[in-house]
Amino acid sequence: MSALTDAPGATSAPETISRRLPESLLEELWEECGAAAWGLGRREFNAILERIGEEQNFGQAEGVAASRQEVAGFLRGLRLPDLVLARACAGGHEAAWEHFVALYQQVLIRAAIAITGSETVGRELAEQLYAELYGLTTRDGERRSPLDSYRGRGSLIGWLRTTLAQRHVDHYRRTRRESSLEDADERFEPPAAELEPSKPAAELAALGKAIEEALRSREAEERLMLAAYYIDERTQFEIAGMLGVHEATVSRRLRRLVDDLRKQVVKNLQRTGLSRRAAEEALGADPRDLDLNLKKMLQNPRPESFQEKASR
Amino acid sequence: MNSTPHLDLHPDAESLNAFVEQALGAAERAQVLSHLAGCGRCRQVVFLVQAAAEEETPARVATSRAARESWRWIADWRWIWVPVAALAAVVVLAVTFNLRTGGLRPKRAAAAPEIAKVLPQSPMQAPAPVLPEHKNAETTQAVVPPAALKLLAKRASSFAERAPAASTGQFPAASSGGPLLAGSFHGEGYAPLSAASASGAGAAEGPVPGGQANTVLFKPQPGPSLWPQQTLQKQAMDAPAKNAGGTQLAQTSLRAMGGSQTVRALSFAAAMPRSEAQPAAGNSLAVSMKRTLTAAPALAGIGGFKLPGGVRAVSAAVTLDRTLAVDPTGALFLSEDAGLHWEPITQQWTGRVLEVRATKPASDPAAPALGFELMNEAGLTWTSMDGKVWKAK
Repeated sequence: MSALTDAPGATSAPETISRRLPESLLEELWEECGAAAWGLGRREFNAILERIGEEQNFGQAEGVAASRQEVAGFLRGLRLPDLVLARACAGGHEAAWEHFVALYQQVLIRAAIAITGSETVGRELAEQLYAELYGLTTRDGERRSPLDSYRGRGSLIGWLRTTLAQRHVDHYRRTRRESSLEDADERFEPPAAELEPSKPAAELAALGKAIEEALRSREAEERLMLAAYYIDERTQFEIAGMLGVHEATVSRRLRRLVDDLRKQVVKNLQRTGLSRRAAEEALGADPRDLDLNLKKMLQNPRPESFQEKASR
Repeated sequence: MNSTPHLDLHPDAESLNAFVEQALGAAERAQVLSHLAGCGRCRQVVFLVQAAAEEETPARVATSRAARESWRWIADWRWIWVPVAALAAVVVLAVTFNLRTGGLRPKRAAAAPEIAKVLPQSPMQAPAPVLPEHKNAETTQAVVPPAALKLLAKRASSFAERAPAASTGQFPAASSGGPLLAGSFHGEGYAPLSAASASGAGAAEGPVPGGQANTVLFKPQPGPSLWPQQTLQKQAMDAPAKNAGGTQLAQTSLRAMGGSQTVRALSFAAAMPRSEAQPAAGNSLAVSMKRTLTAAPALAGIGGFKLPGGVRAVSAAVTLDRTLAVDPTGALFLSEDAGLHWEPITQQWTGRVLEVRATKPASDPAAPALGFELMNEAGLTWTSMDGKVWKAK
């Protein structure tokens, strides 16, 4: 249970949202989102807001108590009309479901087709999710809908797209793992071990360590850019869209990042006792001689598991 | 693909969607970014969501446009000024360029194959040459030497004989090489029609011996023109009736580039079917027409090529792309834009230039004039291919 305080960062005894926030604000939010149309009363509405706020600590870092203003800002930032619609659908409200179908059925199918790149597979994926959203799945005799997990941080259609994409990617990765070797689309690369290493093993190990240190020292966003550009081979335009910046910014930052990384690696190598010239020469090593797991390096520092966070 | 051993530790759809929609706080965003840096699966999800959202956007735009169907024409017309402005700019540039380079004049001449004569608006610039087909015999007699008139009439009638009567209403197209009689520009035996005033101030010059050179000789005409526009217009209207065999007299107004002169073009052409214009027999005619067309802009100045200093040329010669003119002091000038701009030629000859003429290759008299020849007062001649570099002959 999060604390609600008058001053940012202060701590006080936990209080319910309905006690800490002005009734007028809750009333205003309730009316604005049209919760009454889906049969959601004020009390139920307040309970939803409180649960969502607590789950996300009202948008604050872990352990930080949110002030009244921060709570109000967090609640105002939620997609409350989408949220109440999703909750009403999850609760089996027929009118809400009809509204949901009218709004999102075709959009959902189009999104699934766009994500899968196939009309057949897309429709199948959309229909499968659709059935789940309606609550055909039951647990302990209770109707369960994924819409119940929607918390209104982003749009409902965005959440639906993301859910579709997650399912598609997971399905693809699962089936690919199970597919035969003939079907595998892994590119064949000659084993590096068969080739004569161009550098002594010690030098290669030092180089690998220097690279790892250089990568780990970068910011999360920089590591993400490197991974998206060099590992996923995404375009700068795609990366710019993901980060919400201009394409030219991505281009400039990537160029600067690679330069900085190169300098950092040289510095790291020099710290191991190599001269500058030797360090720069070491950068010319055949990448296949290096035993590096770049994906693993970019992953560090490992964030707190979202699953762990969600389970709290 | 899967680099993360903890597949079930990914951010949920809510967090990823909020990240894509830039709806996360700084702390949460940093957390998701850090995860995305090391998780190929979640990066793939994010990129797929982005791509799907981008595909959806045009569909929504199309829907909203359809809803605003009745206002679409306004939206479309908002942007029409862009191509209109571009078109206007192109037109202005084209007109400006043409005005400066005189590019319209050859085009106009090519569009209406005819021989032009100049009737300066000012009476002082009225050394008007005359066509032999003029109805008014007295006027014609006063200007055109009888021999020239006879020759031209003969040539005109010969074309008329070859031209079918049914085609009299049509001028041959410039590209067809159809025959055309030149009344003001002599070549292939045509007489030079120098301007002559009734007072005798101007003297008609005889044809160049051998008929190999296209030469125009004239003298400045101090007196008023004998050929007011009304006379010529009347003649132009009367002429077709007289040229019943297919010879036509046409009148066209051309505006001399860069000057205030109105060029009245009087022409008569023997209309011929295109098939007759192509054979070898028509070659010389085609050459004649080509030369005539080329000469048309230059002829605008025959009534008085205005040379630098305001003086008028006493002799001029024209090839396909150059015009040479001699001023009363004997100085030679070259123009590469049909008389619009003149460039003085450094003297490379002795004495004073009396006459300049265009020369054709001796091997092919029917070929267009390619070079120039000048003659000084002592009767010595110099030749030049470009009008700039001269060698004694």
